[in-house]
Amino acid sequence: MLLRIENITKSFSNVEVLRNITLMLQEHQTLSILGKSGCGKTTLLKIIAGLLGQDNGDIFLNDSNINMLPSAKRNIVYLSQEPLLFPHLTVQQNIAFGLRIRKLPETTIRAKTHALIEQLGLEAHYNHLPHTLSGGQKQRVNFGRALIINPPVLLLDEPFSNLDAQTRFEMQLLFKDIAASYGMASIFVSHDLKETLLMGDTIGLMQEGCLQTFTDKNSFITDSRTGVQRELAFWKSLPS
Amino acid sequence: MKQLGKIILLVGGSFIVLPFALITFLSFSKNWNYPAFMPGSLSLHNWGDFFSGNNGTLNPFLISVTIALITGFSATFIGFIISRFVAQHHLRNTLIFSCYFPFVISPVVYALLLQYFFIRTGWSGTMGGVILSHLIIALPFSIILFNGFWNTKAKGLEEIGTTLGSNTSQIFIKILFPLARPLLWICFFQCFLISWFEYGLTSVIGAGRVHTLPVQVYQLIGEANTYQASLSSLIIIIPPAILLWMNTKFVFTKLD
Repeated sequence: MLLRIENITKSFSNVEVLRNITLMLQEHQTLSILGKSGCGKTTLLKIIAGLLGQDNGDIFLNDSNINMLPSAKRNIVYLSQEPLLFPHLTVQQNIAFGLRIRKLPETTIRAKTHALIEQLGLEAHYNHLPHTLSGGQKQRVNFGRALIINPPVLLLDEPFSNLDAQTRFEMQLLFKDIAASYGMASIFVSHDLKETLLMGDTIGLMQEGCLQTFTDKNSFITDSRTGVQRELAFWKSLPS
Repeated sequence: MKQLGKIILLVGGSFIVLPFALITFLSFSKNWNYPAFMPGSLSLHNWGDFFSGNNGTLNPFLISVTIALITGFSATFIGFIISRFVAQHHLRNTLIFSCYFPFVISPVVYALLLQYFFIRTGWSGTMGGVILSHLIIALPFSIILFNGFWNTKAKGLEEIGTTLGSNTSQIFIKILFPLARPLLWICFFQCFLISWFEYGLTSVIGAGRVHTLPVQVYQLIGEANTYQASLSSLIIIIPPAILLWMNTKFVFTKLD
């Protein structure tokens, strides 16, 4: 098991945000979690990334307990809703950031960055600053910056929620393609039903700080709490 | 209407330019006694004395530059780091409120209140003591100025940098300092000015042994030494003018 989380709890000012969260993530798999705003999705991801500390519970990466490991050493990248690129760095410098931090030789950095930029279709923006990019392009750079350091787990916090429908769809496909080619594991949280179904190999539902993971997509679809049945009923009720 | 505008601009401009023109003229003058229309002589003598250190202004100038540079740099650097911790503290508002305290009372009164501690610690009458006293004003100013910088975007960028593998010093050097560069320049400029023109704190904490340029100007005015006072006043404007030019050229244009 790549990532194992056991009985994580977290409270803010005596309000319990996460209640005994337990989940497992296998290699090369994407776990997508559906949840409304404020249900604790972001808190969970930040705890896994080491940006927040849990009150109780354990996190294991490759069977090693990483509770005490600082965020910078976990090698788990957290991507927020907003594609926060470093505004003073170009596309190439943003993507190369993680490699420069690791002090790799400049030739290796250039070669790796160049290859990834091509794969992301950003060749025309190599030396552009982030403020000149569109929302979709920014999110591509955001992915590139995370992917280049080859993290074992990528945490995505509603990364496409600010994009228009078409760009969102393109980005979903791009992400699936890249995740498959890099063999990367990820946890993808979203409040969008369709996106959750599309992105995940396994699916979870988060409600009021509790997480339930489903054995297969079918059980997720048939569960009345997920809202899939309601959605289906709506589409069926439309006159043909 | 256009004519009137020009006249108002001319009169307004004259109010700004004439005092500078007059002190510049006086700095080249000698023996200008009432009721003579023009000075007895015009020469570079006063300026020559300044550059050769004969009129006692060069040393205060260098002391002022040293104190203001150290104060400006320290207040900017330390203030930036402290403001980060203040911004993340649960008592953020109280801490920021307390930063306004040094600005509530007059610097001279403030200096008199602090003087006892400076005498007891042996810092009174030393350049280090004067720098410390200036920092007591400049540092809270710096913290207040940087307070707005620590918003959710800066925090988000810090988080991204951390998960990408950056340690604290890399976060500051590679992300936060470049991100705050225009604000850091403005802060340095303002803190430099606070220290450069500070008279009350310097004269009390310096105890007459730390002779800065503002102290020198006050002394020359007190002695009615018009020509040297004009020269010193002119010199006191030069470093801030250079910094203002640099700010306008390299900082403000980038903020637009």
